[in-house]
Amino acid sequence: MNILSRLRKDKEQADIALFKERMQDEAVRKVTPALIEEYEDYLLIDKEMFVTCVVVGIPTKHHNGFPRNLPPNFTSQVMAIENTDEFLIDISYQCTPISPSEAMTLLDKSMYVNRVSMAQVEKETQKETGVSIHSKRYDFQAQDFTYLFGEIYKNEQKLFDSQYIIVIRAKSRDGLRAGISSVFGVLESNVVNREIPYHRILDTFIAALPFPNVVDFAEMQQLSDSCGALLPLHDPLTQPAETGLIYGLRKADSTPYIIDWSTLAAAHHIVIGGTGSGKTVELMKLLMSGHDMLGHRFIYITPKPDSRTNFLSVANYYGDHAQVIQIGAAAGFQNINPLQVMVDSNQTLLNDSDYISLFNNHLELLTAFFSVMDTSMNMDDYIIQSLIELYRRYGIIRKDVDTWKNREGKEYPVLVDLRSIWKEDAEKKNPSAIAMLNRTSRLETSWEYINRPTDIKMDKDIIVMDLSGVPGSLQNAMNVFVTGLMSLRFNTDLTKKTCVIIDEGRVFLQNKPLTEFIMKTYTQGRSYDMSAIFTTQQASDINKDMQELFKNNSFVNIIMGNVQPNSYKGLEDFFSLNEDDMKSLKTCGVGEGLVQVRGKTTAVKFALTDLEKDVILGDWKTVKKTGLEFGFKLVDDRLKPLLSEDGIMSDWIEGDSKVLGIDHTPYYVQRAFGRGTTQIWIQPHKVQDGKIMQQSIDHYGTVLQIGAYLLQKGFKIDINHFDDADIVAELNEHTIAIEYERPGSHTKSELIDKKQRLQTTYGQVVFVVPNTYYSVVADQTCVGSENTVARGTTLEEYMAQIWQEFKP
Amino acid sequence: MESLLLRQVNEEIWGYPWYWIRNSAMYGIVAVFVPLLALIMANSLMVKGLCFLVVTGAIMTYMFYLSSPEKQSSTTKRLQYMVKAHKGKTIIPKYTTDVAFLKEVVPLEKVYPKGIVQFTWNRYGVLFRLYVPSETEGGLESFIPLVVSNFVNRIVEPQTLKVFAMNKYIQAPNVVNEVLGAMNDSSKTPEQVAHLDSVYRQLIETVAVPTQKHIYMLIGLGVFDSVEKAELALRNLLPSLNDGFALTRVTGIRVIDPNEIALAYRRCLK
Repeated sequence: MNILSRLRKDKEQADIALFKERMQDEAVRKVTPALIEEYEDYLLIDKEMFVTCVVVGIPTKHHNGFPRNLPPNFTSQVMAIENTDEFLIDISYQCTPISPSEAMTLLDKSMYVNRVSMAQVEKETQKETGVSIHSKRYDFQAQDFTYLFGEIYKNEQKLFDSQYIIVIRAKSRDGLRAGISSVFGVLESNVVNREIPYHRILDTFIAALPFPNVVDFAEMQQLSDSCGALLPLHDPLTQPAETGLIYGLRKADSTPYIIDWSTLAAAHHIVIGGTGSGKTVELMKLLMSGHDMLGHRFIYITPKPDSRTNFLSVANYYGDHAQVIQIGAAAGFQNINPLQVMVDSNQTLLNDSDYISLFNNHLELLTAFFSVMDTSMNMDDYIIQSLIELYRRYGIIRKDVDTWKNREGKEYPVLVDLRSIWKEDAEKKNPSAIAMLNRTSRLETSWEYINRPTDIKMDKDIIVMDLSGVPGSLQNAMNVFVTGLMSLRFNTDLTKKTCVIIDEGRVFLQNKPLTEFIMKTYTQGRSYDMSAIFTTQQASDINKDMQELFKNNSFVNIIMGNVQPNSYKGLEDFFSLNEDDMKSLKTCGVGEGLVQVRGKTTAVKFALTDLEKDVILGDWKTVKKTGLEFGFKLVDDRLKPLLSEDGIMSDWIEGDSKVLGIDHTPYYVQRAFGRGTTQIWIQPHKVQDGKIMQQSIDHYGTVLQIGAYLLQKGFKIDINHFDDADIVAELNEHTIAIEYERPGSHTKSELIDKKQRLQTTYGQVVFVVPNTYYSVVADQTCVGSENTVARGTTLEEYMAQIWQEFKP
Repeated sequence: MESLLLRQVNEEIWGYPWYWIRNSAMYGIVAVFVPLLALIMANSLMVKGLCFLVVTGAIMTYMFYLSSPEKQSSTTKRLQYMVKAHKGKTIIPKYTTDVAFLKEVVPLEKVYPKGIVQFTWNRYGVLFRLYVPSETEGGLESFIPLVVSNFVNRIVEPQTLKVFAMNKYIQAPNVVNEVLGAMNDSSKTPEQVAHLDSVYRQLIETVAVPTQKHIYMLIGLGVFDSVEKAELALRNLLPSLNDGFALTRVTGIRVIDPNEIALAYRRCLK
């Protein structure tokens, strides 16, 4: 028994060793694709990837291979060829050093052959024409050989056997052709010789990959310097941010210019641009994108009227989600009663102390409002006292939160009521009251409108605050008050990130409290999820202290184009622009500019989408039809007929199919084409006992997948879940009935009957079956192999064949 | 920038390579001169006719396929391909193809645990994954001399340096998916969805297809009769290579795990 067990053990160990050995041997099988087909000018790998190669730089009798003045960025140019949906470009460069002695021998031989050939040609032409023709080609070659020899002899450079191959991969032959055309474009513009190695594509492809193989026709000899310049060790493409906010298109290559706000220390911006530079348009674009993509709140404050830019219509576009606040006396304009305590539903106020703190800040804000009227400290104290008294008379007690928390706007006192208290006190000879009465006399004349109750709400996602209607004498105070309202957010947490945009901000820089508000936003905003975009016309609008603030705290700088020449110097100094940046800036027109992030400056065209154009600049009327009537986007509009079915495949949805999760449940089903599984989303109540329409979910899913394939190929289909064939597909007057069969669903005789019946009705019939069931159904005693196809890759091939046969 | 064919330098007569003149002459003797002789000497009309056809065919063939060195080279390749196709070697299903033939195509022998790859003909090498800079101090004019002194000139015979920069489609989240994700968010209003749809439409026309660059560097160590000797050669080369990476600011990570090496080759092949 011991011997037997030992023998068994030895055999097991030998088997393991053999298996390991085999696995090592089989490395080649592991890495090789399942099927490689080599054709004259391309390879087809696994029936889905087309590959071809271009051999680069080989000198011929009439071409030098590479030109002598090849730019050093030649390989970068090839690497920068844009990969498309159709093709991908790969570069391979190999160099193998040749020992100096061998290199010199080769050169000696070459020089000898050169001399012999030259003499031969001269002799033959003498014999033929009577004149000895001397070709300069041999002289240049001799010079090259001498130069190379010198470099190697002096040990300054090495000689290498090298090969440069460009590989193009594509999903189709058309893609391959497009790729070749792009590659040839770059090679020809650099006068580089190139050749497609017909009949030797496979060898060339393998030689391009990281194997130590070479192909003789791609081999050339080059010096170290040339090798260094051609190696693909530099990637010219700065990878754009994968995700983020789209600012516009890079002027250099028209690709989207994106900044990921989450990677910035704070999303503070400074935008500088003169009148008519497109500054407000870009601000509106950022507002729309930031709101829709990032879900941020935006408060846009402008002291200038809406004229060329229809910024008010941006707010109108968003309907209930936006609020346009036009403060002023004119009819239809709104008002903020400064005495009303503004409670923002987006602020998280947890308890009474939070509310009391809010009230205290409100009193401070009112003091700031009056401070614009040159109040003294005594007057400030008096204002607070009189305010408390006024609120008391209206039953508003600061510490009794319930007396004001949910109060209607009209139940608040207004400024003229405050003046009444001051009048009372003035009669008692209170100097502060007399001073305040003198300073606020207009409250009963031109400022009267401010005595109306507040009729705005500050809880919208987009607030456009137009202060241009405020009388000039009150504008500063109102600016202070409005920005003060924004500042109140600093003292409470916000449920949403907020971005305050201040257009034409130079007005703000002329007033101390307003400047303080800007400084506070830039320095502390981040802690409260608040960011600011400050705009002004010229760098010189900003004083030195504020310049420092912006330089240290603004992480995105936008310099709009169409700059007046006298502003160049100021911009150059303020943004530390180098010579190239200035050149770019000078070429930027309206709607273009430079964007500076982390010290990198990029020229950007602030291109609007069609809808943005309509909304910001044009006459937007209604939401246009977006093709999203189903609440998600289909990968192919031709799939729409299938949406009447009870199941939706994940593969049909562009983007994340989880959007269906609201009222659908996902089930995994086998892919009808190819390998693996996919998801089908079905409304839960449609599934009973694991079945939908009396079919298994697998059956149902397979039929839908085949249906989708046929629709995308242009077939007209009819899906039947009860009688008849599962799918009847028609194209160009050809019809085929497709029936999916699972093991055990029908007996052999039933299948034969079904086949005959469908053949009689439709002519052509095919039974799609799982792989495991194929041998049973394909048997000649059942429906036969000519009428049976296994699900997976075979089905894909079969369907492609049917389409080829049927298509016009 | 020089590129020369020093190994294929040929003597020329009348400006044509000597080998092509020699091949043409041999072809002339065998395919034209001999049948022509037979044509003259034959008594039978049938033989004469046949010889005439052969001579005419040979001349036509020469004119179409061999009348210049380039045509001759292309014809040779075409013939080799036809022979290969005839032998069924242009269709390679890996599971049913003999391993020996598979290795002729993909020259991979073994992957050793320490990351040394053995290729056919006892050639050994190591694979690196490179992460190359997109911006270099002083621009390319300063970067290329660094590459020359720290990579190219550090490779000594019988070593080989090969860099393969490839692109792969990726499904990584990008801005297009992000916009789609936002569009598919049920909390968005129709106005927001319409705006995002316009952003999406602009993006699909302008955004680059999401791809990822994989750059592999093969250092061919040479031909050795055992893996141990290859390992020794690698040990001698590595300090110099690592130094080269540091000086050029190219990040090179040696692929050591056999599975990762297999994955890298699979990625390159498809």
